[in-house]
Amino acid sequence: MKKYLGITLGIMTALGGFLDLGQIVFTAQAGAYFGYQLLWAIVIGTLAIVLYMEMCGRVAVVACEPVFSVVRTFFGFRFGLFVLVASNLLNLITCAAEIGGLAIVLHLLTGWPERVLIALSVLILGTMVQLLRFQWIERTLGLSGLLMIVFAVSALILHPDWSEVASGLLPHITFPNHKDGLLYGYFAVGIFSAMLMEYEVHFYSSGAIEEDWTPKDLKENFMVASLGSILGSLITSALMAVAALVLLPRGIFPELLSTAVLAGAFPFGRKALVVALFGSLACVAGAAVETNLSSAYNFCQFFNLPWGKNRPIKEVPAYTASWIVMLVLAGSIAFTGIRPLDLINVSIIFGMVIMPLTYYPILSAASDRNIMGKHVNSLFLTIAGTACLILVIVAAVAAIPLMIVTHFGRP
Amino acid sequence: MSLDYVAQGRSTRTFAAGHFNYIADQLQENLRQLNQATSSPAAERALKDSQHNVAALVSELTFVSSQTENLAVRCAAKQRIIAIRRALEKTSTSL
Repeated sequence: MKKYLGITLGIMTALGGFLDLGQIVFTAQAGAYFGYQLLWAIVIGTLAIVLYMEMCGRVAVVACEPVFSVVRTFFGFRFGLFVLVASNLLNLITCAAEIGGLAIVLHLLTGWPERVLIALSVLILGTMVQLLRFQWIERTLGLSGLLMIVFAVSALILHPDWSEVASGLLPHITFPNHKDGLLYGYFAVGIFSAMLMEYEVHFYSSGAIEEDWTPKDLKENFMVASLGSILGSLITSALMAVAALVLLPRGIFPELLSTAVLAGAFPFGRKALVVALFGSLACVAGAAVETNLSSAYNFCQFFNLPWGKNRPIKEVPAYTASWIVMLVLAGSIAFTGIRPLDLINVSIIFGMVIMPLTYYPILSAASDRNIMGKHVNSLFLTIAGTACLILVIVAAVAAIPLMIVTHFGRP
Repeated sequence: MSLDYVAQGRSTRTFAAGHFNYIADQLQENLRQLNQATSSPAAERALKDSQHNVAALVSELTFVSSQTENLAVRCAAKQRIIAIRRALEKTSTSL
């Protein structure tokens, strides 16, 4: 039973975190402009997230050290605090965007005013996090997120050109003009970053401790990290394919969540549209909960305060206060009327910029025999992890200049 | 694409209304940017045409978002939107 619960955790992390507002719109935009040409970025992002997630889970289980405990040990208090602030600021922006996205999807489903739906979303998410145990939150949102499979079915029904799909697995180097080259770079970095959003990994590693995993569960950890992420990346690829098949031939660049959802349900009728909307709702809600709880985990783990979703409130006051404050703040930001997609653009780019600051300490801890004992990284994992770290650093350095010169990826 | 999808009865009423409203909002933002834009004397006419056409598109989409169930209104709006789009494409190629 525990094994199946663990797999559910992976599915939620893959769909609720892997697929979020940014992932849905960013991938659809890339597909609508470049067709399949950026599929390779999804593949590399998947490899990187599998490695990162597996290492985080293993360090959490073996050393009983969640991510921000490792960050503090590695960087010391002052620089560690800087990483914590940056990370939680990123979570706040992302959570606000997801709440805004939630209101958009609910508006498309009900027609109710968006501001009312933002307030309602905050209330529902808060009640859900408060009342449900960790396992039930992940089950509810993770399994509902499976509705996103409608995007994969649409992609298959629209008969993609498989040779073009295969050619998208290799990066393109030549472009008709300089601007397209820069845009291509921006979307490559954006897709890579959206797949590596750190909140999902922090949530995952904290979840491993919440669910009392032991070193005996390490095989399951690997299975969850790899299968969950691969499933998420397959649906992400389907999103790109659908955009390439539906939007690209019509010259439509999706700047709205509703356009991306419509493309996903395009071959079908009303029912598929509703399924796509509910799937998006589950993914966006899952990401909102993950970013929200991730902030509370980060804060308590850094300051060594008691934490845990399944513990009584009296035992974890700082943890409870953290997620409530974060949720209210995020809701307030969304309530100002700022466009969720503008927020998500910022969060994706800044997520990449601060990614090396958590990736490197985890890679170092997982490769340290003194910490990990016999569960230390193999040579292969250390080499692969280092290669990913180099890619993460290159993407982090390129992210902001590309964002500026492409005006947030505007064709 | 969206108008055809709605015309074929494949969308829900709330989705269609919301989607057209979001597109109109997005265009309104584009119009605001266009209104702030400056151009060379040679392109002045094209800029004015673009502003006029985008404004017309915004009002058509706002109108159609409240009439998603009315087939006759929707068809007429679609024809007008196609005409505006052609005019915008023409202006774009003239620049």
